Amino acid sequence: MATKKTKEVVEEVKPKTTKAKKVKVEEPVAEVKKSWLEEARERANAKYNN
Amino acid sequence: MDILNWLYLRKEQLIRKTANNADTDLIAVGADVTFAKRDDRYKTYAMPIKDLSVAGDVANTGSYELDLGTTNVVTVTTQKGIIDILGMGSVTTTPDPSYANPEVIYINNPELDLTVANRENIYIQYSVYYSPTIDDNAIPYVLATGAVTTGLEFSIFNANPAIALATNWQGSLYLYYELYTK
Repeated sequence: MATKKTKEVVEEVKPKTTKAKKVKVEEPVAEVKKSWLEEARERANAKYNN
Repeated sequence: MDILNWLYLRKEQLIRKTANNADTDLIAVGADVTFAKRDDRYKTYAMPIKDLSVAGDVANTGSYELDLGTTNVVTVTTQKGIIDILGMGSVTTTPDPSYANPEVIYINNPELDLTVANRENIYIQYSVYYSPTIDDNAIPYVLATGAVTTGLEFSIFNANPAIALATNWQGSLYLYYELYTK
């Protein structure tokens, strides 16, 4: 009775190379805190155009 | 009278740092009485030291008006002055209670160097007068906040923490100042 031979084949699996996606990361913008004086000056400038 | 004999004054040790009697010691002064009176147009008179001192201060005191409905810069020409501040409450932001949202004003004297670079040589004194009107609980607090191109900067706050009343800042507001540079 004939026997079937099985052949083990090891296929080399190449890892898929994927291009890294460019992801736009928005850098956190530091909150600009104005002093009360700067705010007061801005109001005055808006009013009087100094 | 040997008032102009400087050698005599030095020799007799009559150059003093304090007045003998400021009520009665006299300083000779030349008054401009025009050419019609004398050829050199000056006529001599005398004043006691204490009166001379006050007379100089009075002459160096001016009265000015700052209408915040038009501008926030008042131009002065004297070393001392009385600034009548009008239009408070009509500006974009009324100084709010608890030192919030101050109003910025400027005192400028074009004859003086009031830039930041000269800050070490700028002398300023000031005080505030405020007489509130009815339904007005504003309490002015004035802080000197800088030397900028338009003059010396002052911020006017409302020191009262209570809720503002309907006619806040409609009272009479004056700023008295003394300003000169070394």
